[in-house]
Amino acid sequence: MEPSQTKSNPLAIPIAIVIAGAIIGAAVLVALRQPSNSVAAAAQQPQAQAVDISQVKTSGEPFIGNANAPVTIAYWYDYQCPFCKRNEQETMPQIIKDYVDTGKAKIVFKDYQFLGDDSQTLGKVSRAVWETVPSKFYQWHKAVFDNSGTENTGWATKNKILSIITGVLGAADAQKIMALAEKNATAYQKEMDADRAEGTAMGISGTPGSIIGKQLISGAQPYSVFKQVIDLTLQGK
Amino acid sequence: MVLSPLRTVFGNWRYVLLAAAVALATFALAVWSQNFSLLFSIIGNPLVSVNDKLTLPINLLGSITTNFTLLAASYIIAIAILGGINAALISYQIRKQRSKLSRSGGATGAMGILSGVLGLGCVACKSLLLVSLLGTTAGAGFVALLPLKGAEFGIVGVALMLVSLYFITKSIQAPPVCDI
Repeated sequence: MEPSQTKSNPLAIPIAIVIAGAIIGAAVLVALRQPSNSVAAAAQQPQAQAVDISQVKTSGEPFIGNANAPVTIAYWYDYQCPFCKRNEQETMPQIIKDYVDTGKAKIVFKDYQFLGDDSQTLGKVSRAVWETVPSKFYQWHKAVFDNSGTENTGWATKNKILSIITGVLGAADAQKIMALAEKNATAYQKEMDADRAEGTAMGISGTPGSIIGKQLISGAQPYSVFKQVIDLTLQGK
Repeated sequence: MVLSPLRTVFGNWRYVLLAAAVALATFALAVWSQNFSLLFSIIGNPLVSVNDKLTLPINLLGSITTNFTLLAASYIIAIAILGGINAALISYQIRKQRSKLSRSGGATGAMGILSGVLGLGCVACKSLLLVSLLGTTAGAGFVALLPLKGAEFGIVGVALMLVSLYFITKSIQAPPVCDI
């Protein structure tokens, strides 16, 4: 009897590639299923809609840049998300320099506070900052990420938040803002929940997430990705 | 024990090429996984230039440094490389020996890839797969309970791929037998 190893199959390599691709592809396809595919999620979440910045609620939301800028970037974030922090520190400054400061784009800040109580607290204070001193909103927003503590350890205490606001706005405004955040807590929570539901409906399932034109950028992507999508959106104007 | 079959297999440039192709594909799919809709939308848009269609996938690969922790980036690269090596070894085994594929090796390798994929999204403030199955809140809650915030799946994936590599090389080394 002939040893079986002497025979060969010329299709073996292509078949192996197809099998490997199928395994990876199947896993990715399962991963790409939207949250609304799950029974539990379907009950909680709004119906999915097409990604389109014109459908995103931008009025009344915190923003930076020219209100009439040709491109709008809707940006969903969580104050405790380490990748939002990285995005704020590494990518956002370049986007602001090249597109916001030049009047080509504005960034609308949308809440997606889901990582815990500290995120919720900071989200509410953030809305109070926007209501009180909108011109300093971004300084506050950036200062929170620059001073953030370990996730869900209760680091966002009243004193810590006061010290962040004081550093940006001064002591007088700090007390005013904290009082406003407490007074409007229920209303702010509703607005934050609405932001998150809106993001989820458009395909945002984590943070950071951005919608530019009809494109959704998930995660903390390099500046080159944002630049390309913003430029393509500008070309379409 | 593992090195000898590896030398034999990778002495042939075709298997080196196969391993590199599978590793690159696995790495790219892992890094692109959060932005397939963006990729398809740009590539499928006739108004977008060919240059933009080619550069976006490359630009997205840069997110390995921005959208993943050092640990996650490490296990993604490890799984990609090990996946490539496993694919080449399996291909060699089927082609040269025509023996039955080492079931334990193949199954463990597949489980390794799946486990790695399960851990992919956990690093970006969500778990892609867990969120799909459980919903955002439940998925995030489950991941928060894990000591490494979901990186466990990636580490298990690397371990399973190593076990798979061991089984397959062992199977390649086994003396040829006649089918009864």
